[in-house]
Amino acid sequence: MSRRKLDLEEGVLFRQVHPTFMRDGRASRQAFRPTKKDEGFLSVARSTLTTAQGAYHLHTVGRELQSVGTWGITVQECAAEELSAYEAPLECPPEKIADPAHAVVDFNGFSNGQREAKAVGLARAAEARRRLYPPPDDDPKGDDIPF
Amino acid sequence: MARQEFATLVFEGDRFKAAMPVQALPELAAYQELVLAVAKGLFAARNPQRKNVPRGFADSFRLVLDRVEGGSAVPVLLRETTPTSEGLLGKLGHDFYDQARDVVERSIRAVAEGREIPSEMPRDALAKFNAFGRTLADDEAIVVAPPASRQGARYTREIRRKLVLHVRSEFEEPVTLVGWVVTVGREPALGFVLRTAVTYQRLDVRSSNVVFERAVRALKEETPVLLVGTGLFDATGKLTKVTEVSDLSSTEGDTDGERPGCRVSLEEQVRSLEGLAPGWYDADSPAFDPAALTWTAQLFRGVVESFDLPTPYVYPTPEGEVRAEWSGEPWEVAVIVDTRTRRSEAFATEVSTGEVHENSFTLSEAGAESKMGRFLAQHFHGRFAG
Repeated sequence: MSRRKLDLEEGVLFRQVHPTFMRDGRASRQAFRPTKKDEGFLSVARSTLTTAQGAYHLHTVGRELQSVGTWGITVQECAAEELSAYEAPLECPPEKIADPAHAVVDFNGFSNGQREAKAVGLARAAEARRRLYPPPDDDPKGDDIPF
Repeated sequence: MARQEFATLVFEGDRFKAAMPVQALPELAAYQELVLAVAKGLFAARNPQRKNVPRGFADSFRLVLDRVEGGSAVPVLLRETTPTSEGLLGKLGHDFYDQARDVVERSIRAVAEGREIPSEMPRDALAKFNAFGRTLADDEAIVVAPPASRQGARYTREIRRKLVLHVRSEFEEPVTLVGWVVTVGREPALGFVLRTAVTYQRLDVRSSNVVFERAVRALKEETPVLLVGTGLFDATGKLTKVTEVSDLSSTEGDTDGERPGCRVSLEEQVRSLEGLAPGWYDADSPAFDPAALTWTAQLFRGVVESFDLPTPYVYPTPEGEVRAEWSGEPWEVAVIVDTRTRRSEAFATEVSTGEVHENSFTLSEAGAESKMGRFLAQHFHGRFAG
């Protein structure tokens, strides 16, 4: 599958964070790296095609998946970690719901330890930007959803 | 008094790059004892009619440290002779000490190359390898080289173990253990029983008066302790007892309330994972076994308190492992524990450069939890010098 690489001017990429990956307002670094089943691709959404709120609602309502909110990283921050981002729009069918803004950050070619280090870099960048939706001022310490 | 170069010991490993650490100095005395024991054995083999070595045999062999050369820590050992010792050597008609040095080197080389130990090596003297190399870590070595050379036989922990196990069924190694004191006793000798934090192994510990008092206090206050000392291992590598304690430290009155890091207690964080049903993240995400989580909480508690780490942020992984993370500068550290295999992987990332160090640990092995704790703490506290 050929995917167009996103250029550095693309801006913010939205990332949804599972509630269990939040503790006392801090996101686990694993939220910013692919899981073992993701085949090396971290799913994100392009801010040029959707909003932080739109990405959150598509994830939680459209796909019926859990998220505690939308965080953001940029293509430049990915590039600083030697990672490239690619557009990867999802179509319905086969997907449950179409997502033209879907994109991926490619972690392939890096060892487990290197992926861990890159996730630290991306997580710190996202932390500095703070949660984009819901806005943190609405819920200053409420990021940690009990489970 | 005359002096001549006798041997060069090249200490290899990160610890020895800048200078010779004082903790490694006992290796020099242990080397002298080893060579002397071999020399005695060589004398006995050559003089089967004699029951003992001649008077003054041991005193005639004396090594002194001339200098420590750079590049790595390279102590150069000189052999010192006096008119008395020269007189004895003249009577013996053979230099058993020089021969012993060469036999030691050849024996190390033989084991390193998977060959039989040379027949000239006295079997009784092999036990002396137990004291030589005891301070070496897994990734360190001593190259035992002849005078004026740095090329010689490479001596490691593994080679030491093989040499010792030729004549004994057990060997000693340094240990660092995290655990709880469960009983103390003054009879038949001063000592206590330590239950290790991860393996739940009950180990008899022989102790001095000072250490004993600390053990009594830790028992009374039910605080975990960090024990540094010497352990006795059987031929399979299983730790059977602690024969000497050089330090026993406890974290008195430490609580999460005073500890930096996550404001949710460690136990509460780990216990919360019990509430995750199968499929909590994706279809394959497993539930967590409560007993395994109790074990995990004890592991993290022991490591946090013993190595003075902040309360970590604890998360589940979709694969059913437990992650503990610590944000720090310049290093961020994390450990992922698989409770089913009792293995862990630890990562340290230097935030400004993205450099990553990683290590894995088999937590069913004695002392693994403290090795893991040391890896995390050295990076987190910025004491890593790599």
